Parts: sequence; C-alpha cells; structure tokens
Amino acid sequence: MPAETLHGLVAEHAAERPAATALIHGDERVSYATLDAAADVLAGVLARRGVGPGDIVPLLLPRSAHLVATELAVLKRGAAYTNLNPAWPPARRQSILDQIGAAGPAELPAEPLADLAARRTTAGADVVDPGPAAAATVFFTSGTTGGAKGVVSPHRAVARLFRPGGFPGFGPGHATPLAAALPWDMYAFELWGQLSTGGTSVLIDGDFLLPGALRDLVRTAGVDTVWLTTTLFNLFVDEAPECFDGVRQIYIGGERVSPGHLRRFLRAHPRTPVYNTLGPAESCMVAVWHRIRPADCDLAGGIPIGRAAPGTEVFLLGSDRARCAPGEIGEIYLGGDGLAIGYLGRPEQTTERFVPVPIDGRPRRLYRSGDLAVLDDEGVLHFRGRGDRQLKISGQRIEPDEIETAARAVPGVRDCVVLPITGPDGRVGRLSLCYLATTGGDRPDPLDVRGHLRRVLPAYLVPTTIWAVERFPMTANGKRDTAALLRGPARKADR
Amino acid sequence: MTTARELSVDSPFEAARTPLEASVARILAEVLEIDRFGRTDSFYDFGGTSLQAIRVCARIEAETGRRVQPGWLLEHDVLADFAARVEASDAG
Repeated sequence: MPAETLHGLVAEHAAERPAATALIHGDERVSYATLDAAADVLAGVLARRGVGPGDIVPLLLPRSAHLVATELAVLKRGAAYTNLNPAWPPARRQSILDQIGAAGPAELPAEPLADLAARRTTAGADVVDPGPAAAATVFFTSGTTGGAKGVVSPHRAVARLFRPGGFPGFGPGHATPLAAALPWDMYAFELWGQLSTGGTSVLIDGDFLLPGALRDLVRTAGVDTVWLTTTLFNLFVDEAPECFDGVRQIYIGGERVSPGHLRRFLRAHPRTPVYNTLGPAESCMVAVWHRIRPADCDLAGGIPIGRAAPGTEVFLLGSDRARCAPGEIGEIYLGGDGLAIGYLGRPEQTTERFVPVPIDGRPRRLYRSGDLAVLDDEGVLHFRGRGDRQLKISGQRIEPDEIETAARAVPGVRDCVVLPITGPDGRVGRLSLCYLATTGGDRPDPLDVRGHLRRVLPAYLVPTTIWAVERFPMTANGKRDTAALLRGPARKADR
Repeated sequence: MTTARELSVDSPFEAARTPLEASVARILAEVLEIDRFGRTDSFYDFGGTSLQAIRVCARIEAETGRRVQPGWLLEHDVLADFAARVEASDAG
C-alpha cells in the first residue's frame, strides 16, 4: 500500500529513486536519499528531546535545504511543524510561541545535509507513522480576534492535490520554485507538491521571486511548474513577459484575475496552461481551480474560479444551507481531504466555521469559506466577493478586525476603522486607517500609531496611510459613512 | 496632523550623485508615481509596499542586468543606502 503521509511518500521516493534531485538551492543539489537520511538523523535528535505525535514544533530558520530537512524530521516524529517568519515583529512571534506553548523555536544541528546523512545507522529508526489524518503543519494567518490564528492541517490535506491524476506539473522531471513566504500554505504547495510526488523543489535566494531569477531557474534547475500570486503574475507580465519562456504550467491565485494580463499572456504563450486557483488555508492551498481560456477574459463577471480541486468537495449553499441552483449567489462550503483539523486552541471558532451540513441526507463536516459565488449552467463557479470584511492584498489574507483591535490598544486611540483603498484597476491595493483620539490627555499622532502597529503586526497588516479624524461621519441611517471617510484621506493623499 | 509623507516632503531634496543612483531614483519615482525621488528620501515615506519593491527590482534588473533583491530595498529604504547595496552586487 502506498504511503499516505508526506514523510512516508518522501521515503518511498528515496527508496525507489535515491539519486533523484529533491532540492536545489543555488549550486547545492540534494538527492532524495540524502534528504531522507539527513531527516532521519534529525528525527533521532528530536526523539531524544521527547518530540512525538501531537507536538507542534516552531521553526525559525532561513529558506534553506536545512529547513526542509528539519520540517521532514518533525513529520517523521509524527509531529507538526510551523514556520515563523523572521520578518514578523518579535511580539507577534512571541504570541504564536505562546499559542503553541513552546519556549522558543527548535534548534537543531546545522551541519550540511550530506554530513548528517552520513551519520545515519538505521533507516527510519525514529520514524512514526501517525496516519494521513494527523497534523502535519500549522499555518498562522490573520485572525478576526486575538491576533494570528493557527490553521492546523493534516498530511492528507497537503498531499491530496498531487495524488496520481491530480494537479499537472508535479513529479519526476518537474521542478517548482520554492518562493512563497515560509508560514504560508502556498509554501507547502511549492514544497510538498514536488517532494510528495518525486519532483524537485528549487529554493530561491532571498524571499521574493523576480523575473530574472525565474528565467535563470528555468535554465539551470529545470523549473517548469510555477505558482504565483495573481498580483505577481501581473507584474511579471508587465515587466518581463519573456521570463515565462520554458515554463509549462502556471498556477495563480490569491486575488481576482486581471483579464487584460491574461489576454496578453495567452496571446504570447497559447499552449501554456494558466490555472486560476482559490482556496483558504482551511481547505489547504487550493480548493477550486480553472484552466483559463482566452474566451474567459471577455466574461463580464470576471474569470471563473472553476470546479473542485482534486480530493476536495465544493458546495454552493444558500443562507438556508440548501444547494444553490445555477445563477443563485451562495456561499462556498468546502469539504473532503483538504479540510483542516481546526484552529489551534480556538474550539469556538473551529465549531463556528467547520460545521456539520447534511448533503444528500448525510451529515458532512464542511468549512464555511465566506467566499460568495455563483454556478453557471456547466457547473463552473464564478467568484462574487466576500460575505464578510476579509480582504486579500497581493494574495495576503487580511482581517481588518485584527488591525483595528491592535490600533485600539494604542494609548489614546478611542476608536478606529480600517478602509480598503481601491486602485485604478478596481482592486484593493492598500489600507488606510482612520482613528479618533481620546479627548484630553495624550493624543497620539499618526506616526505614534504607525510605530505601535509596526511593533505588533507584520508589515503587510500595517496600513499605508494613517489619519486622525475629529469624528466619524455617519450615513442617514446611523451607520459609519466609510465612503465619506475614503473621500477625505484619498483626496489629501493624492500628490 | 503630520504624516510621514509631509515630513519627507518638508526635508530638502538632494539629487542623485552617481549614474546608478540616478537610474534607481528614476525607477523609484516611476513605480511610486511621484515626480522625483531624492537620495535621502525613504521608500516607506512614499507608502512603498513590498509589491512595489519587487517592481522596482525587476526594472533595475532589466535595465542594468544586475541581480537585485527586494529585501535590500525593504531593509535599506533610503535611496543612497539602497543604491550602494545594488552597486555592491555583481553584474548578472
């Protein structure tokens, strides 16, 4: 029976094709045999420290082959890893460590993988098989309350998209840049997509993929399968469209697709499939996907988001939780193997979002995504916005509530509101924060507020413009008039 | 009320000194959609985002053939410092 855990799959490839390249980082090439053996040795170190099933191991390591071997070692112990971002402010890292209940990030021998691998005496001596439903990784994302929220995902949620007959472009002969931010679920897509199928994951230098680097990696590392946020894809098409030469399949997502960019790309690369993807971390990485056709670029409602991804169940339900007929707007509910186990240490939020819904008379556990969509006559989904305030900027998920909670904690801030600023392309490009200072006492100026937010929030959650207002304008029916607020600062911010 | 932008606009403008500084200044101004970018100006004071840093670096790569990392601009947000970091990188 084939392996069902991520580390089990890697061990299988190491046994069948030991010399095949698992990782490339600059001049460094790591074979499956070396990666698996080095991770076995690191798993031994973890075992002696008592790490085992049910544990969550926080890692604060640079993007490196050593990081991947360490993640694999954690999995081999039946435990789950979570990557902390070195760029996060210490306060946020600490809040995550507190949620995990860890004293600090794990530190392991930082020897070259070949040296570690050479120390292995017995293959798999300290390896545990926790089963495909066990936690493999925790993704920390913007939460509506209480700061960063940990989404706990099992092995099968990560592996499901890449099983035989799944997503194209993964496996022997395929390579993907490992470029996503380390804590993000798309990092798992780029890494485990290839490692669970016997392909190659190619680590980039630094934290951002640029067109020049992509061009180099196609040539030197055989990169042919690429994931990019929609925003980054657009930027590459604008700045250096020839960087996609040699790329055989592209997955994009995180934001609405720009038809103009797609049209230009497909005209220049008619045979390269571009897949539009959508998926919250709670239905790991990708929940729905759609190969974009040139005709899609002319649809009034935008590029479709498509159908269920492999191993994923998708239902479009109305407010009564009955299935929507074509043309009816509903909320996307997600099920199947991609589902997260839940939110770390937040049982109420888990029960609120992961709900039992009877489908064809049988109750199923489904995730309420908050994404609104409509089905066309062919059963293809079209995105219709959010049912709540959640935003995506450059593919990063943002809960305005989290920013407002942080801003209200600044001494002297009485109330505040986060406003999305829409760019000329009709998409949210940045955030603005308007706040009301307390009367009397210390009145913080916008630089104080920014300074405070920078200390507690990652950079992508700190609004670009921060404004003190004397009052919040109200609409006739007593609601906050965000349109009036937006007109104010937007006009002043113009140069 | 004072914003970072106003503070920076109030500080005296200092023109680029080297050809590389001049190219980087022009690219920064284009990407940030402002008239000009001085050598003591900070990328953040003009609301620079990581996405704009990526665009800046993609253009520097295309124009100069140097390999540039957006992280350098996020770390060295003042033009003179960033240009010095770019100068220190190998031509691609």
